[in-house]
Amino acid sequence: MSLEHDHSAPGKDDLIAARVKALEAILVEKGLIGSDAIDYMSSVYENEVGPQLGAKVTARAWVDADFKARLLADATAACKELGIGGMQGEEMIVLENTDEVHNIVVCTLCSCYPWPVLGLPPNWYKYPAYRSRAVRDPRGVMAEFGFELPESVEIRVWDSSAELRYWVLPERPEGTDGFTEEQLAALVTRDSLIGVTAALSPDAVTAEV
Amino acid sequence: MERISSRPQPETRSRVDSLVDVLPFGDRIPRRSGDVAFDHSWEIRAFSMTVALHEELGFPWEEFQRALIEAIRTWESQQTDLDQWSYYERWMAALEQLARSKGWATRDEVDARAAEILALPANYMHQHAVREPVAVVAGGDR
Repeated sequence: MSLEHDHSAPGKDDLIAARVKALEAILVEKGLIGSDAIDYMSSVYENEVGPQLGAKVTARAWVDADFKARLLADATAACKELGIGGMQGEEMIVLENTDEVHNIVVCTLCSCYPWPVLGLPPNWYKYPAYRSRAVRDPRGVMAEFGFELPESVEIRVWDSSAELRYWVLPERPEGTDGFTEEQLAALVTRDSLIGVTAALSPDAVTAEV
Repeated sequence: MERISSRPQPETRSRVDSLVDVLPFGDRIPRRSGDVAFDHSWEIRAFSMTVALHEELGFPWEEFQRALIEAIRTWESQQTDLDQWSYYERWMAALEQLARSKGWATRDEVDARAAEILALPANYMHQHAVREPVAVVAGGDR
């Protein structure tokens, strides 16, 4: 394998990713397997790939107002401060949830997703049902995830693309004064970083203090 | 899929865990906090495709285990730099081998389709940055 990084040529991961896609497409076309069966199996471990990094960044932003300001101004650079990179020049924007505005992210065409921060996208992120309903009825989608957003809150739906990927900075939950960053990070779920839910409340997590 | 938020059955999880437990070279499976972990989306896709094929088509898991052992040995015999090791690259080689021996897909078929996929730019349908919300639902009392 060449050590040179040539942007015009596909890398080793692109080549093997293409073979995986190719094999799946062939097997599906031949009727040997359904994509839904593969989706279902990948859902078993998809959470284990989860948003540990996004949770860490979020917890830092909750305790450090200067960091939060930098994160909202330039998410790629702020993540780099914490040693999180790999976005390959793609722009990343973090959207702050407040009492008045709740953000939710969707990729209306495919499944553009800031995976170096959030891990692998959940299967539902690429389902047409999520893509269309998040735009048409975001409150209904949140309700499906068990999240009842007050009617008074404005919802903004953002479209992630290959060039510009969004993720959400959830609100810091009530009752977390004095929590360490590690304790706070445990409250941040992948779903809350996509915006389909809020961060967990401390009551929902077994306290291990 | 009826609900966007649907989750896999708990018994599926333990079934898949038990398949992982008997994989060859299990100590080399990438893990985080004890759980099977993936660094790239193609890795989990290759993994789940194999498990789904096993469940749907009912071929014995031992056949995949043998193919994986073979793929790992072949690779190691050809390499001088063993640091380049990737469990899921060997996994994919084993799955392709299994697909050939079962008559599911030939090497030519996979080569040709992969070339087509590579000819398309990544996210070719979705390059442009969208800087405004695509929808806003105003808050307020109703």
